[in-house]
Amino acid sequence: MENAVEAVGLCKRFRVHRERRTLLKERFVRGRSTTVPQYFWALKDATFSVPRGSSLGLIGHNGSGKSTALKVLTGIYRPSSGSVSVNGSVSALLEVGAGFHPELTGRENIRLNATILGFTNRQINGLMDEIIEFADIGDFIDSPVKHYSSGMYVRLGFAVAVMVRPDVLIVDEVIAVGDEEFQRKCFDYLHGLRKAGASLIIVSHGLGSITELCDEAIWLEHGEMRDYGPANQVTQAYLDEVNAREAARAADVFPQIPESDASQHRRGSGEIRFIAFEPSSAQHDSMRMLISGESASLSIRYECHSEVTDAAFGLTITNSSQVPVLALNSLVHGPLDIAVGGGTVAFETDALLLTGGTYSVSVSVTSEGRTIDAATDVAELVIRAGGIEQGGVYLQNGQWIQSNS
Amino acid sequence: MVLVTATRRQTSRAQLRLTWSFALRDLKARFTATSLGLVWTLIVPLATVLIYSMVFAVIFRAQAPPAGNGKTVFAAWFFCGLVTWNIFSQIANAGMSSLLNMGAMLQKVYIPSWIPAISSGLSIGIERLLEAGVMLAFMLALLNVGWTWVLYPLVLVVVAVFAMSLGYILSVSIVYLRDTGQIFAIFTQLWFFLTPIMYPLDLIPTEWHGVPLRDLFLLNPMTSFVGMSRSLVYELSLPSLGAVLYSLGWTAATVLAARLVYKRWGRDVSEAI
Repeated sequence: MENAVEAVGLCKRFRVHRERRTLLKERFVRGRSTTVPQYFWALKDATFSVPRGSSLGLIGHNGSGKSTALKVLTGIYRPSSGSVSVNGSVSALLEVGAGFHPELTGRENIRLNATILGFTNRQINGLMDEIIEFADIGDFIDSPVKHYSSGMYVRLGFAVAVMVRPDVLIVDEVIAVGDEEFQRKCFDYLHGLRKAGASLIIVSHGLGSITELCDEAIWLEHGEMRDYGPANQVTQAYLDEVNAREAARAADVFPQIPESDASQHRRGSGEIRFIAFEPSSAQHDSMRMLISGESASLSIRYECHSEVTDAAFGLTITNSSQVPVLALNSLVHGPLDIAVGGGTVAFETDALLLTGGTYSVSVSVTSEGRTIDAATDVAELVIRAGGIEQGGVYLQNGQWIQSNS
Repeated sequence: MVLVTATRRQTSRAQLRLTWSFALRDLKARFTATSLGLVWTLIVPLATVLIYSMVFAVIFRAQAPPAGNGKTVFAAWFFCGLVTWNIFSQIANAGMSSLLNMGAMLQKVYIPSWIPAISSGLSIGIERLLEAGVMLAFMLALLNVGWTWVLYPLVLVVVAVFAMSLGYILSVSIVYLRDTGQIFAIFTQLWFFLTPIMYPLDLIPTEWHGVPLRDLFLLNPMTSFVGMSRSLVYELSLPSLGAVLYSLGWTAATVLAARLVYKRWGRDVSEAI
């Protein structure tokens, strides 16, 4: 199949200006900048192609080089090395208000943009009504675009970008600004364009729209192509990593219980010492985040230095208003005998009934009334609301019933 | 190592069309911005002619060379030189700020960096033609007309090309060095007075403390442009071949310099704006 876009070893390098001397006066007074120029690779060795009628999505974190890649593809930036060839006309919608002059009216901006895209006056006259109809912004079409709301900007921008029927359409995360109805309209139109043989290149943080619209996807990380392949596979790989990273970050939120000498946080004789508090959930095992109403496991890791009999573990969860909302004690299942070595004790539930919020966790272990280890407010526990956010401290089971009397 | 196969679908015809539409937009904006619109573009130079003629012809008793019809009218002679200077300085100035004025747009759509300077030059040039028309009407009223007028538009076109190229170079420069504007403003003022516009070149001593001063004044390309305009329109004679070649040489060199600037810096301005 013929390729609409072909990029080979595309690189874009920016100079990092620590102090840029933009005034001749400064250069004169302070001399040329003596610091060695530092470079930053916004895009490194990107090689990909988009066959005609196919679509490509770019995903990645903020600053991963997605927008730079689009600007190189549209010609706004010149690649530092590598080559890109585009077969056919390109229309791009980068950021809100792509290429609008604020002082000109909507109609004049349509004319201006279409001229930039290489249309003749006659062609523009033919397109004008169609574009205005698609944008659907009413009488605002004849007022300067500086008076537009961001939604109107996007409507008009999108209308111009798609109605000129480009061979390659480049869209940078803009559709999200419009309302639900307009977004739907845009998606339908993009599908239609693809069917008609146009190629799409889309940047989006909405992975859903990438899998819906794109055949292939590129996952960019620090300007490099981390993954390139079928859209659903790439987005899945990306999602997995994002979740894993979030889990790792969550693990940092629940750190090792500190061996503190500040006595009010840590008391006890010390045969057993707590090491860490580790909440987890069966449904989201990659995420160390708990969800209201779902299963949860609150696990305490410890190290036992000498054998303890008749031990009872306690777990207190305090909400942000300092109210202890849960005070659990393992004694409900009888006393425990703890052997020397490491181990965990966990409280598990099918449904954690605390409402969403940030809680503070205190743990303790006692034996026949004697405190062995007690750590107050040693960890933070984040619980996310499962469905509709509700107030109060816990979720009451039950249902609402309405009847007419 | 830098291999860029063209990605642009903009054919050169489309680019010219874009340049032209920018110029038209510019003109429209200028004529609708003020209530008197077009009239202002004429009042300002006419007032300048009046003021300078009063100051120089009446107070300083400056003498203009005789016109083609034998009469000597300082205001006509001065006006003719001023038109050429205005075309040059206003095109160069407008070109200088044109790229920055595009601003954010350059980061959202691909527009070659030479388009703003050329299109603003075109719109200014067209506007200044009105002034040239008034100047010619003035000459006509003085019954100072000759066939040499036919060549006058050629001089204006060359001046405009010279000014647009300079304007483009400045427009790229101002992106990287923001005080280009202030420096050029001072420089044009000096340049205006160093060009024989309100005094005849004969007034400059050929030698001054051992310095061949008049020859130095002749190095100024604007001396040639103003001189050629006056030969054709006021004195109704052909300019010297030397002046023609010299001004063409300067224009060609400036166009080449503008090309170099485009190749070296002009394609990366969207990153610096």
